[in-house]
Amino acid sequence: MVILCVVPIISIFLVLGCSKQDGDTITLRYMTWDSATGLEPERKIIQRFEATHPNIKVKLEPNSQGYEDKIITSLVAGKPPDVFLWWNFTKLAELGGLEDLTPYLENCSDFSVDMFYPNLVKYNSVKGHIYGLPKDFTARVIFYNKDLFDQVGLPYPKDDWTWEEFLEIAKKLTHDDQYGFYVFAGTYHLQPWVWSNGGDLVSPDGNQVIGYLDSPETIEAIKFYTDLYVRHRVSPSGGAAASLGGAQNMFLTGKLAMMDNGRWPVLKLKKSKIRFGTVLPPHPQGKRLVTVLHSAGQVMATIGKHKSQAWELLKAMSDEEAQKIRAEAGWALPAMPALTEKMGLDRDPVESAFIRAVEYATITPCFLRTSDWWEYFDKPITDAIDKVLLGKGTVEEVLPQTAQEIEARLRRRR
Amino acid sequence: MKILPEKTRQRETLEGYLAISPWIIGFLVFVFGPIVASLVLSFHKWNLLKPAQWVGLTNYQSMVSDPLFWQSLKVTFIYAVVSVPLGLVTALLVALLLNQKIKGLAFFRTVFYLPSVMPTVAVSLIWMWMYNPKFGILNFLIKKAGGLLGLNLEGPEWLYSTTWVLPALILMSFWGIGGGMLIFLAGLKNIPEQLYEAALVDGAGAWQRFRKITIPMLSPTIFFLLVTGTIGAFQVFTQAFVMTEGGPLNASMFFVLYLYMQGFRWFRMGYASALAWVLVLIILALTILIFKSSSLWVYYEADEENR
Repeated sequence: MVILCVVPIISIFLVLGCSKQDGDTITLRYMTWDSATGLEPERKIIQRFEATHPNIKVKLEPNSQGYEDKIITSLVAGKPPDVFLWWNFTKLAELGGLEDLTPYLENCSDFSVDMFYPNLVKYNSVKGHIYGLPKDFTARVIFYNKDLFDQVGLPYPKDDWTWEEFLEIAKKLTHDDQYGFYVFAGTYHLQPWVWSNGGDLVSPDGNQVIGYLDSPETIEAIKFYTDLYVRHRVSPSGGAAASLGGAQNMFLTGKLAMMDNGRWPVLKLKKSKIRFGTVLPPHPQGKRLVTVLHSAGQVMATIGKHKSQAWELLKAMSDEEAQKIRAEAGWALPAMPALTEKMGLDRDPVESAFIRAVEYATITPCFLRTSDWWEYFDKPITDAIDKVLLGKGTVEEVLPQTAQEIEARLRRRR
Repeated sequence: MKILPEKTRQRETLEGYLAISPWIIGFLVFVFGPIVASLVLSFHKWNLLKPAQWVGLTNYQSMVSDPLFWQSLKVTFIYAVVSVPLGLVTALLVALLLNQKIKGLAFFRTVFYLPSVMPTVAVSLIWMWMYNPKFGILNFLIKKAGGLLGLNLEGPEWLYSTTWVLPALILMSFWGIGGGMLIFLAGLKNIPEQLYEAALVDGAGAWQRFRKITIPMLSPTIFFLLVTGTIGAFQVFTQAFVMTEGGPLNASMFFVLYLYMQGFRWFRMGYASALAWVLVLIILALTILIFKSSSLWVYYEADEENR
């Protein structure tokens, strides 16, 4: 008798158990490099998503250390997060790790990339295919310390200033252990200088460096940039800057009058005692400014069991509400022009420079053009510029030489 | 010897293997497996996500024309050639001092050994502070010393100077002499007292006793430390990774750091595996060389008895 009663009860449990499993509560994993208080907006956005999608749970997996390694190894192990934050779209798309979002967008009536800044969508695309939905963005602009300008009675810089004016100002702001600007080797932050002078580091199709890296325009631009240290000494040496804690700390302690940076230090600077302003970077006389953006987007892994649900999450992580939550927390600028206007950010004295810079971001960054051979390119050019800064060569010597070396390696690879 | 019954012997063998099985399994899965895999991979092009593609010896051939391969090899050789012998001499000197019969010996031994216990990352961060060109204690002392001599001495930019970065890292390597010192101390304790007494009776001076007794009796210890030290020097990674990332201008691009960058920054696993195998061959060759040379300078008491 007892057995007869127990069996049906157990089977009811079994049925319930099963139905609960296919009963559609699934868990999506989301990975981000945000950490600490930067995660708060993400938590809010996820809570909002879970409230509207009762059958989907989202597991937030923050990983600020070794993020790229984690993503790549998880893809290799076949267990990537369903949705994650990414920036080097070309590389991972080339490796086959990123889901092409173009078909999803075509079959979707409630979401369109037209809401985003068009230049930003380009940053999240590879060869016309969209892989990421922009999370936020920043442009590189010039930060300046108003007090240091006031001390020498200089007017604050305004958009549409020239390289020559920039150099003169930097000279006037350099004395004792205070510097006008900070110059350092690298490729990303150098692009606007090169592009604004009509040069480039690599061909538009990303297959050639000779004729670009060694072009007169590129050489002239990199010479101007490195001369700020080599000839005019308006910048500290790499060692001096490092011993003072880097450019950002020097700016915070009033040792650096101007710095080239993205939006990241804004929150910290606003909390400090520094009175600062932001302005578009200078351009060579008679030429049009080109700026560069930094952009990250939400992407979907190609291997995933719940792609349609992941797509829902992707949209929720990038839509207007999500952008607003992040912007209100002060962490980032929304990737949507309508929203920046609505929030008055385009009229904000500090934030507006980043927004004005977007329309000048007309050239696709080199790393998005060079597919998976970026390292053949980035490291040698950085080394070449370091050589110039360390006094071991001139721009006229090292750039053509580096272009030949890169080209030779590319030929061997083909 | 008592002969055990067949069954008991088999049982004991089985138990023996069972007892070491965690190690054996661990070795096979986590060491031997990856070693074989890396050898196979070194003949492939593999970026982790796309299937590996057989390329034969291409990875090995492209090293020849890879300037950073040669640069990293050069940096590593210089580091090994300078830091290993200097480290040995320093460790021996400290061990000799700590072998004296003075007060507070245990305290000094602890103090000199302590740094070797610290993790390399922590040590690297401390030394980064000491090497700071503007606020570091080293340049502060150099300036002070200059002041005493009436000179305007400026210390170098250490980790930010292509000239000084490698000397700085070599100097820092002395931080870890504690391990060698301890082994030297054990070696010194093993030298029979009567050898020194006999030498004293024969009228040998301190230098002669050191040269004719201590050094030969310590030669097996020196040999051991030379081999392990050389292997260790070729595997330097953490310091460079934490402190310089190979810079400035690749002046501290150690071989293993370059291997790491190829593998984990640029995801060229095939090339990184090939680099690893070249490193194995280099270390193997050097070890064989040291072993071969040992018959000329390493003295074992057992040899004497057999002659």
